[in-house]
Amino acid sequence: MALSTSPLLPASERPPSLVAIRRAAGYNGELLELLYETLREFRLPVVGKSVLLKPNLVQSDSQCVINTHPAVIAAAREAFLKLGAGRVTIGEGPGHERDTAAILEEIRLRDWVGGLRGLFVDLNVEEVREVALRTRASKLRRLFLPAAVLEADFVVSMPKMKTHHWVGATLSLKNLFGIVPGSCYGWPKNVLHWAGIENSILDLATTVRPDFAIVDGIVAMEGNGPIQGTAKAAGVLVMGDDPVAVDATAARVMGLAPERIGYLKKAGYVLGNLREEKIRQIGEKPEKVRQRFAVLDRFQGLVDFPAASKNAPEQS
Amino acid sequence: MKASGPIGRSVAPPNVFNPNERTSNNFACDVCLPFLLQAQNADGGWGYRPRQASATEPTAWCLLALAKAGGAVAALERGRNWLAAAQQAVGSWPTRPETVQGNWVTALAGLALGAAGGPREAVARAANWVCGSQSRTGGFRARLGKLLTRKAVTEQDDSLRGWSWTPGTAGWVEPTSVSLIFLREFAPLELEASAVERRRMGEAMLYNRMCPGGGWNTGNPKVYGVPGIPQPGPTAWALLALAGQPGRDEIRRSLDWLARNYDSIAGVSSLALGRIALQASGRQPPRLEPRLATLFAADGFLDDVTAFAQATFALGEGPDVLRAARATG
Repeated sequence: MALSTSPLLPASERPPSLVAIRRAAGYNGELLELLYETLREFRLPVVGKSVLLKPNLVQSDSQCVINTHPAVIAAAREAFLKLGAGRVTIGEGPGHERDTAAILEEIRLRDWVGGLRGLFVDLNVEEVREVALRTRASKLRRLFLPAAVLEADFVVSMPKMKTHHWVGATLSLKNLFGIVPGSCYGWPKNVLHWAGIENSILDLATTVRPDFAIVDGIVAMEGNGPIQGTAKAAGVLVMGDDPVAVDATAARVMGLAPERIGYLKKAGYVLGNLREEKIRQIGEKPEKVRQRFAVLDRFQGLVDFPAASKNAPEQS
Repeated sequence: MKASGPIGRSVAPPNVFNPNERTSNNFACDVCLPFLLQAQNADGGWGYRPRQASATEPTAWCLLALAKAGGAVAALERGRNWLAAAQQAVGSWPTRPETVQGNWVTALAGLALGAAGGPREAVARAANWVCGSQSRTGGFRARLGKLLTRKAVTEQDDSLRGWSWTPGTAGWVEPTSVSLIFLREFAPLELEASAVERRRMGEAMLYNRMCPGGGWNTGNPKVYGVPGIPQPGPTAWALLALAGQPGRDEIRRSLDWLARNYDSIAGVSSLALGRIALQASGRQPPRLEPRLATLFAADGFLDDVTAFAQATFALGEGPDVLRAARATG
């Protein structure tokens, strides 16, 4: 069951988190090995379990700048099976496109993972159960959520690394909007906007905390994301079992200060580790792969990129 | 209700289950309709996928498809009974019985109940609920808030109220379009006094939300000055809702966009809706059956009941409740 039961601890009482940054130049066949070896280091309890991969599939996008690349989804699926997972399915409830099948066709997911019947679950129209939200940051209080998510043993949030025109950056926590069923709440899931996007993210994440996060930052998005931005070759995957620590690390890779991203800052109080000293990095260090992501004017205050860096800041 | 409207119409569609009445609709007859009949639940409704609990939207689409195809009288009646029983006292429908709150599916369900020969009183009750349901964007507080925070994120006239997905939220293209299509089944005097103004404003809202080059997305024509990218589904819905005004340049540009992009549409639902909208405007889209056959061979439409029903409707030859022959009166 994916409903979170982990304690909501203040940062001072939480043990350090482990986050891996791996370089990946492209979406090629080496991804499986890279993911498998990295996942092994986390000793994940997935043997015999049902694993639900939750990528970020927003709308048709043949270049896969908006959506999590199918190569990453396929490699993650293979890696979890190789680790002994009993069943690995892929589930998403796109927020801007009612025709989920059209997105799957356009990104050619079938070419990467084989037949989709029985493998892919459209979370927008799955059967639902009403859930009391664990925190009251927003005024939502309760939501209907897909049984496919609630009944999965292990949920993996697999966002695309993107800037976001409402909240600064969209990563593994914001990706949870895709589990909210459109058939109940619409396309877009406007009820979350009216309840406050940042607080809705927090309430969702405390209630259905992803067990693992894999951020596709191989080709990311900067500028007017999450849909109308431009491609940014960041060349990394960021992974870990603390979604807050993963998102904080990904934000640092994007040249953004995670403690200035509203929902991440709040998530750092109760859900996971935000501060660098509480995150043990494996693989690359954030500063070694950091790039300056262009952001909209209203988010210039999030930028945390040393001007004297060898990786010269780009004009936003 | 207007006597000439599709609700309670006397014109019988051809019975596609009768080989003597079948024309060219092999895919609908051989693939889609058998799937829909098999997927019907014992309670008469349909779930989003076979063996799932009955839900309002797939049931509504199955009724629209069966009513247009003709023939499956018993299935139609059982479905109609489920839908009628699922209606709430105030006239609305929720997504599923257990989700309780009436929402955007009400207009579609009302349209389907009428097309399936459901009780006229129940359909009118749905229409009056739709008339009374209003999106939230145009309020004084919203305008004041936008002014005070100097947010110019989207370029659209938020004073134009349409219909929302869920009560108390903003208006969007699809729920506004379906509501307009449903309400045009009624003469003004049959509805609450507000209906005429609601329809006028809903149409104005759709024009305001059109993407700069024609076509519609979910409802944001520009974000931070960047033109929105149209999508086939919302474009088809808006065109069907505005089809009574074919002379307008916005309609011509949007039809051009849809026709130009039809071949690149990748999903069953979008293909079906696109075809319905193009045909309703008198344009002839490329043949749908070969595209459907390819997609069906790949993954069986992922067992998506609504997609099967929409494809059946698009291929059907009976009277079309989504057309604007009885445009706003």
